[in-house]
Amino acid sequence: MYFKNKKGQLEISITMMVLVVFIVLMLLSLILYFRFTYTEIEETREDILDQKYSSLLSTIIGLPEFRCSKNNADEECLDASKLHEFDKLLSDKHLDNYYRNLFGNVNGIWVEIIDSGLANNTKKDYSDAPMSQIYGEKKSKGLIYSAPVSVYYPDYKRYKIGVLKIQGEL
Amino acid sequence: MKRGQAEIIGLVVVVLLLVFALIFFVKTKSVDEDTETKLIRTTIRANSALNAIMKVHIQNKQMKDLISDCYEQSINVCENIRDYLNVNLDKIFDSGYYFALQDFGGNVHVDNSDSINLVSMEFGNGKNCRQGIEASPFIVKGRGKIVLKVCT
Repeated sequence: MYFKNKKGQLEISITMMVLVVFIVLMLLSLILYFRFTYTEIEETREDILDQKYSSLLSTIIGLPEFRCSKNNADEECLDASKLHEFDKLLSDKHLDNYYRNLFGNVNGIWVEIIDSGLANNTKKDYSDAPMSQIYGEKKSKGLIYSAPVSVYYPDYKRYKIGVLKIQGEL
Repeated sequence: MKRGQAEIIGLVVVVLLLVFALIFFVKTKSVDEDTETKLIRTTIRANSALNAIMKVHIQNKQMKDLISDCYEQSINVCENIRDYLNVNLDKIFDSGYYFALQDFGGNVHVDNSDSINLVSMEFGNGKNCRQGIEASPFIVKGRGKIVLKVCT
C-alpha cells in the first residue's frame, strides 16, 4: 500500500513537470508569434505608406500646376515661379478642398533647393528662396519621403537641383 | 543505459531540434529584404536625380555642356564638376551613391586632350553597396556615358 502511494506521487510529479515545461514552451512560442505578427503588421503599414507617398511624389512632379514647359512643350522639371505662387491658389476655399483631397492627410509638401541663389542676381525674389512651401507645414513628427527634381527659373532661364519632400503621417 | 535516461536524451534531442528551428526562423526573418516599393522609389529617385544633375546650371553653363567641356577642354572643368557634385549629391542621397563618367567600355578615366594625366571621374561611397539601382545612363555623344547608382 505504502509503495503504491509513492509511485503514484512520483507519476503525478512527472506529469506536473511535463505540464510546466509544456506551458512555458507554449508561452514562449505565443510571445514570439505575436512579436513576429506585430513586426509584420508594422512592415505592411510602412509598405502601404511608402507606396502611397511614392505615387504622390510622382503625381506632384507631373501636375501641370507645377510642371515647367519650354515653347509649349512639357519638360521634366518643376517651375519655380509656379511653386512660389501656389500658396495664393489655396486661399480659394474650393481649390483648397480640391488639393486637400488630392494630397490626403500629409503634414506638409515642400521643395528644398540644393544650391544657393543665382549668380549675378541683384534682384531679391523667388530665385533666392532656399525652399518653396507647397502645402501644409513641416512638423516635428512624421516620416519624410523625397525625390530629387530639376527646378526651372523661367525669368532667368536657369535650372537648379531641388528635392521634393513630403512629410507623411506617423 | 536505463529506460529513463534514454527518454531524457530523446527529450533533449527534440528540444535542441526545436531551438535550432527557431533560430533558423528568426535569422531568416531578420534578413532585411528590400521591398518592391522601395526599389521602385529608388528607381524614380535615381532617374530624377540624373535628369536634374544634367540640367543644372553652374555659373552660366549647364552640366551636360560642362561634361562635354571636361572631355574636350580642360582638367580644371572636370575637377570643378567633381567638387560640385561631391558636395551636392551628399546632401541628396544619405543612403549612398556612386557617380561616374565612363567610356563605352566602362573605364572611368577621362582622357583630356590638353592633359597628359588622366582624370578619374568616379566618386561616391556606393560603388559596392549591397543593393542599389542604376539610373538609365546619360550618353555623351561619341565619348561615353554618365552613370549614377543609388543605394537602397
